[in-house]
Amino acid sequence: MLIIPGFIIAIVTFPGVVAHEIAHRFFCDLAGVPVYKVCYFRIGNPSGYVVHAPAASLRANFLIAIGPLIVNTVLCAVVCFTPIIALNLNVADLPGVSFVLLWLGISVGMHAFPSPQDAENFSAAVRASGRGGLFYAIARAFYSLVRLAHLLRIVWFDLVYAVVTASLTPVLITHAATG
Amino acid sequence: MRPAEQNSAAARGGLTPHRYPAVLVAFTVLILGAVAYSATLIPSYVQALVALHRAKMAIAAGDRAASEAGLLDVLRVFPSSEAARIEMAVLLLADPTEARQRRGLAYLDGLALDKYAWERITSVLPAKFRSASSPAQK
Repeated sequence: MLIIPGFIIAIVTFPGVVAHEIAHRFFCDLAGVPVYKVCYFRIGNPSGYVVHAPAASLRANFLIAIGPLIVNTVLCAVVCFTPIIALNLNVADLPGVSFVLLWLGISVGMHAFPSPQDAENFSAAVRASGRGGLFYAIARAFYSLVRLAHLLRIVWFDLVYAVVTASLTPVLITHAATG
Repeated sequence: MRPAEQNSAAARGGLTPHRYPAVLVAFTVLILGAVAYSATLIPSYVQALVALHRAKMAIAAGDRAASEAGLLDVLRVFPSSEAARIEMAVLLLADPTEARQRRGLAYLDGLALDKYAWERITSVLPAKFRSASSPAQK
């Protein structure tokens, strides 16, 4: 198993870190939650962060936590779409821009999953709201899923997620078009 | 968000909403540019991928004419598509007409075939062309 220090991965895939933090900030702005400080990229742990006020509603909290998953996943699928098709067709003289798009898309996809801190913030908001039952169960499931995804990064889950996201759209479209 | 809400967010000590540093705007423009460029290519790329998929389905169904038409569609968009060239070569080499067999060979010109592709080619390669083709030693 190839183990590469996280900060090196963050440097190589820095567009994904930046897109992740932009997504957090964008959803904070949409929800009207004050943002105090933003670091879009740095060499360190974490490689980026957004410090914001507590959100007024659980919905806003959830959107802020899950924002990068939505934004980065969609961007990964769209940016990688044409290079993946060209790879499927084994195009010999692939233009250099295709490799740039592939790097950009995969980098963005690798940073789609919320961090454990994002999930913890959402769980804390659910606890603070006093909501139990189904809502709490969903929050716990979300937290566990994010923790699991974070742990599985040791076996390159983030890369697998990005590659699957990038590859899936052309496959789905081909199947839809051919029945 | 409404302007009043934006003002109140800023008033609570936060950064001004939707106001991003210039370098970040440039970064976003770069990503959106990549998305736009990728989007302009989508129709022809999808058309080629669907044509290849249909051609493979036509081969499986024994419809050689439909398969050839599909592969030609792919090669119009991507003349260097190895997947389409190999499929076309297999299709034409299996044809009894020598002229079409030679066309099939021409599609392989300059290609380095992997073991699987080589096996597919040799399974349909007429005996008269076998002496001229051999696997490269690595």
